[in-house]
Amino acid sequence: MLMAVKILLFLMIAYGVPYLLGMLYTFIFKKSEYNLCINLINGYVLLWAFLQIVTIPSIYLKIQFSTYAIIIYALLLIVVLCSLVLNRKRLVQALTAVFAWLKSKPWLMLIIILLVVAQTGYLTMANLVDYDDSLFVAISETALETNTLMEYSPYTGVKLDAFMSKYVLSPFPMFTALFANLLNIRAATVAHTLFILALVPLAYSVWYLTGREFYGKNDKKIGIFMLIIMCILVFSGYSVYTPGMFLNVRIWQGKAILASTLLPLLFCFGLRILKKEMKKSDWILLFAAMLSACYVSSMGIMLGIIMLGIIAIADAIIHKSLSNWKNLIICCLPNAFFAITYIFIR
Amino acid sequence: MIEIYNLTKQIYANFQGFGGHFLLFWISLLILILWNHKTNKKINYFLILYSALLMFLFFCPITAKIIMDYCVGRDVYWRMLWLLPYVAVIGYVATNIIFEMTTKKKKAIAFIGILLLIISSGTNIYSLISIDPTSGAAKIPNYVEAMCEEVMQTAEEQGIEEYRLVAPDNFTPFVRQYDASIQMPYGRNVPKAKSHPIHDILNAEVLDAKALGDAFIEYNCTYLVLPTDDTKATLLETAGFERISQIAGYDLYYYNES
Repeated sequence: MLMAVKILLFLMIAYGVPYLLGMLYTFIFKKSEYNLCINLINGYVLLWAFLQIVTIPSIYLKIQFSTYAIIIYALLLIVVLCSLVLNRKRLVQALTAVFAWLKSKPWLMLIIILLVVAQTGYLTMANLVDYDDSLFVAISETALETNTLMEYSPYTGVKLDAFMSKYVLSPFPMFTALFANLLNIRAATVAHTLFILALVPLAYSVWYLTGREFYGKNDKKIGIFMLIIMCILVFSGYSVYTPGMFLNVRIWQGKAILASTLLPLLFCFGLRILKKEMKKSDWILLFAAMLSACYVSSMGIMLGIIMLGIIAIADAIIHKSLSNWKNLIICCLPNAFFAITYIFIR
Repeated sequence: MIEIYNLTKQIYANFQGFGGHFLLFWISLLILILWNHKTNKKINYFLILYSALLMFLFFCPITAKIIMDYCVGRDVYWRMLWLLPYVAVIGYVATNIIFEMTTKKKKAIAFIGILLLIISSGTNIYSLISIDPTSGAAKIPNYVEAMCEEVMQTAEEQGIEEYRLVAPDNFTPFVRQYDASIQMPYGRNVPKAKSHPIHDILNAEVLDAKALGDAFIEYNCTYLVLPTDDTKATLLETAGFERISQIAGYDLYYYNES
């Protein structure tokens, strides 16, 4: 019973907080977007970018985990309350829009939602084991045990002489620890069971967004596109390296989120840049997405820059113009900063 | 240069595995090149150009060496292929083919045909994973959970606040995931990244109980877990290891220095 309550609480936070963050973003930039998927994506990108900015200094200042957690919870609570107040009318409109959408009998989309729910449910119950968790989940559990941020070895529990240079700049395990601390459950439970409930639908939301970039608001084409994507991802078991494998078998790890969610999202931005639909608000979101890539995985630091670099070259060739390069370079700055920092600390 | 190129070829081959999705990707790119659609020309060009640029970066020995040695590392160079939008390209081309069909019946046939093609050229991930009804929400093996609880309870009864557990390799990745109050002399990074004397002793052909006892003193270890074995238990008792309990096919020993 208690676990069921904690699952419900997790769902409320894991969906509610990013959605309200996303709604706050669309409120500030005067976008009339209520769509759950899009606001969820925007919200998570902004949330992880915010956590990257706050967590890195907290680690180096050797702030206690409990203090860090309180700061994060308090800041997010303030932002969420602001969003609730500012968006009170839009939230009602969003709910009305959902009922109107359901009345239009969107069978294809409902089938997709059902398939995503079924996949998520199966993966939540599946016996998924990955040995890399001996590092990542142990980092979270160690933070909770020692009340520190990455100061102790996850392998042995002994205090480290120096931070683990490969992982300190991508403190995603602290995200796991924040949930574990808030819900008073093991970090392993958050990672192996709860995160699947939020992160698998989030990954498919990015594919929905990709479909929108390709086909606008043509729900039939987006629906067929998503069914094909789902099929490709589910049948990606021919190699342990594919994004499909990482999505289905270890989505709770930062590098899996990078492979299955954030890199496809950066590609979405590439399509938007190509179509010359990028506004100032989109560039800000792209900047946040690059920061998020740094947050979830150290691979995101370099792969983010490489991807944006290729997009920049492709865009320059197609449009015969370097007009987007200034903004693209600015978006790469977080990654460049962390890449240079890594060179100094390793 | 040739060595780097061969390495990239091997990495690519490992990534695409035994499936045909990458073949579908190349066919999709070919269709995009041959397609002369009035609409979406820009998207077509972008997908082709982006994929070509990435493949060039990936296979070109000069860029590959720079990226391997200074950006991502040689061991995980395969993650460059996460940047390849093969899923998006296959999905995009397949969807467009379906909607090129003029009637609903043709669209349905094309859709089912494409799905069957994707299914037959891939491997179902869900056939590789299973549900274990006995597994808890933490998804830690039951024997590890049981032993960790036993260790923590024993330590509490013995009034030991800080203790270090030595356990076999099938325990090591999970113990500190389950509870980080249990310290260990080494983690999963042994023997993968480095060696440790206790690990070497435990995995030797013949268990040297005295050497293990000496290592326990040197590395300040408290408890030992080994698969249940009465012969080993007798041997270990001579070296100061006291068998406390048996849980899920494993013996828990307490090392008594005196």
